[in-house]
Amino acid sequence: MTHAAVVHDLRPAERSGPRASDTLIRGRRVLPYPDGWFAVCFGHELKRGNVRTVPFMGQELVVYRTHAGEAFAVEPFCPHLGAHLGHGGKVDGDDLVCPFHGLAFAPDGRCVRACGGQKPPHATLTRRFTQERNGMVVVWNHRTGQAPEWEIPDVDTQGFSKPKGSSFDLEGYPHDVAENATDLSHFAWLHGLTDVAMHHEAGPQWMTTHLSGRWHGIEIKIRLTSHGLGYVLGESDVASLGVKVTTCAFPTPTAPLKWTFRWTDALRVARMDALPAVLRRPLYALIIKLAHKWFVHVVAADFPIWSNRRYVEHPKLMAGDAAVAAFRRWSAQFYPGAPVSDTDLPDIDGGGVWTRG
Amino acid sequence: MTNTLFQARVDGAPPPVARCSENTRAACPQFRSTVGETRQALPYADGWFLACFAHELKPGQVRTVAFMGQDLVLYRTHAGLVRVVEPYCPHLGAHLGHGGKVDGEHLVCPLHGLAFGPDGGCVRTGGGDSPPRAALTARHAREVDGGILVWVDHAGLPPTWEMPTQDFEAGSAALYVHQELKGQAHDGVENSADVAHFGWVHGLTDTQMSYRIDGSLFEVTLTARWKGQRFLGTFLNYGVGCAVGLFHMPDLGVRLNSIAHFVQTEPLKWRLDVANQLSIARVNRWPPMLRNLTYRMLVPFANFWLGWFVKPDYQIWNAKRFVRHPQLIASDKTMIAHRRWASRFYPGGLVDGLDPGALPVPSQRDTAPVRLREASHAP
Repeated sequence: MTHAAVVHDLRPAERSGPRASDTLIRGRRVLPYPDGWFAVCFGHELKRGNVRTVPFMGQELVVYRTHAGEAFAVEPFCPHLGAHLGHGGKVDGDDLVCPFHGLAFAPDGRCVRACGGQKPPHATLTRRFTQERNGMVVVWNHRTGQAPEWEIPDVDTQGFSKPKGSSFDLEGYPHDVAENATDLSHFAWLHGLTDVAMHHEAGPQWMTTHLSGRWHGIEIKIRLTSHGLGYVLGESDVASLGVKVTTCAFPTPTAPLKWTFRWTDALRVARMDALPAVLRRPLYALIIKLAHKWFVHVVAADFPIWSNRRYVEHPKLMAGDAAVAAFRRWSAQFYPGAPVSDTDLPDIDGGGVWTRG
Repeated sequence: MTNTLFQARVDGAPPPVARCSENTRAACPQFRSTVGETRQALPYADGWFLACFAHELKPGQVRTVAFMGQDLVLYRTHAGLVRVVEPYCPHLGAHLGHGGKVDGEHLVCPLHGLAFGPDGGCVRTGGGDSPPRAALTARHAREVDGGILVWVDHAGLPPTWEMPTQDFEAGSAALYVHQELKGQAHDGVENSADVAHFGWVHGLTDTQMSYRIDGSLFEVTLTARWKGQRFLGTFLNYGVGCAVGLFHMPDLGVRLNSIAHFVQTEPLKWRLDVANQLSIARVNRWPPMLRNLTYRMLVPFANFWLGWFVKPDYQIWNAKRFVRHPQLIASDKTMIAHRRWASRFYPGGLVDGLDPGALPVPSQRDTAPVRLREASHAP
């Protein structure tokens, strides 16, 4: 990186008087629900035989796990007379049984039994495409009802501690988690990294940023990969300490301007690899608990900003915002009626450096 | 410069994108991946609906009740007349239920002291000025069997039918239940015609159901067993605001008479108000003092049992949605007949779009006894 640490507005605002629109207070814009995979609950929250009701994109979904261990997500209302399957519905073997008239629905959604041995109606539950990835139950959403074209890849955390997770209900825009991963300057300003540098690459449904910086002098490298807008994988490497951290972040829109942020951290300390398992496991359990608590503290610095920021369609970008501009262009594919217009986003060369002060 | 800054690849990390497995791509037609549907409110229904029980409105009292998306103000004059009026004073709009007072036969507005007579007309003002030519808008109301009922008609017509009085035999004093619920009041109304749920939800066995329609009355007869005891039930649906339930367990000589009122208070919120009366043949033969004492002791138990019996319904009603195009099972005949009949009370009806060919012919009787779980009690 040879760039000087220059911060300047790419398009200096014209020093004209206030325009008519400046006198109007514009509220926060509600964006449509994006396409892609989004988490509905932690896998461990859903035991065999459990039925849960979860908020998801302005509606509810009923999530259940069969006794065979597979997780399913369905629309909440029974097609017979409309009972809510999340309020009294029970899992019987592989079937979900309605509390109202005992209609039982097989894993493929078909009604296979009715109460009193009656012939089941020709009815099916509407299912949602569901998978379990990286400790999370994820559900597919698509504007036209299209089947999934891609999946969230599994992360290999062999040799890592067990993951430790948290969940927060926030306001604002769930895509801010993915956007954050591309926002070089905020890592310095908000999270206190120094000597930060970033470059990015984007594919069809994924976008990766490579971030390097120092935290209190310790060199740290982080690779952040978004798969759609519902999942960001963070792989951090502190080579000097031999520490690696894998973070799986899942923002899920629950209602207009409301979302739930779930994420897990798992950690690996190279020096502990040699320890016998009987010692390593309890040590990891303790370390990940403390480390996760600290990560929550770090990430929580973003919460008040996310919860209150507005989606600015025509952002005034700085030199360090190259990846943000690229993100805005890349993320438009997930939104029906793409809220981003290309013309407003300058194409900044692939890298950026930002230094505080 | 790609990848020069960042060499540390996490070992074994998969490539950034994986193709979708065949398993997931083999999409079943019932899959959905767009945003789904939520509950939608039915319109408010026509007919007679409970505002409150008569004993809840004493002479001189003013009450405000939530009723179909608005407030109604109820008052009882010192002579005992019940009036139900729209809540806002025609003068400057004060809410008569918030500070309004009954003065003799008049209702007095809290803001300027305008007094309104039993016919609704303004008869005097607070300061002695001549009263304006204004009147309260009154609602058609009746006091029947301990309930104050209000007439609703979307076309603005006066009552076209009357709520009959019930003639219950002697028994305990009335036992009142008030329950606030979410969803559609109609789900509660329709319940009496839903034979299958009596088995699955309430554990009745050997259920049989038949029905009779007489204008605004839909009468359901249910025979069943509860814990092996014969259980006979009659439901008299008077419109969709009131259902009288007459339950009889002949083996035990116990009768339970219920008058249940269903009122939609606002979209997706409703109130269930029930007056229950317990009657036991054996106890009725006892001298009055002993009889009353026994009933007093039994009523809390009856109350507890009733609460336990209907509680599963509350959970379902609170969360369910009204399905206009239900996928039916064989035992739904009576329920569908009920829905056709109840359509007359709803603007736009309840069965539009239902394929008539898909509906069972209304045979007036679900002939085949529907054997439900625990059918071992059969004689």
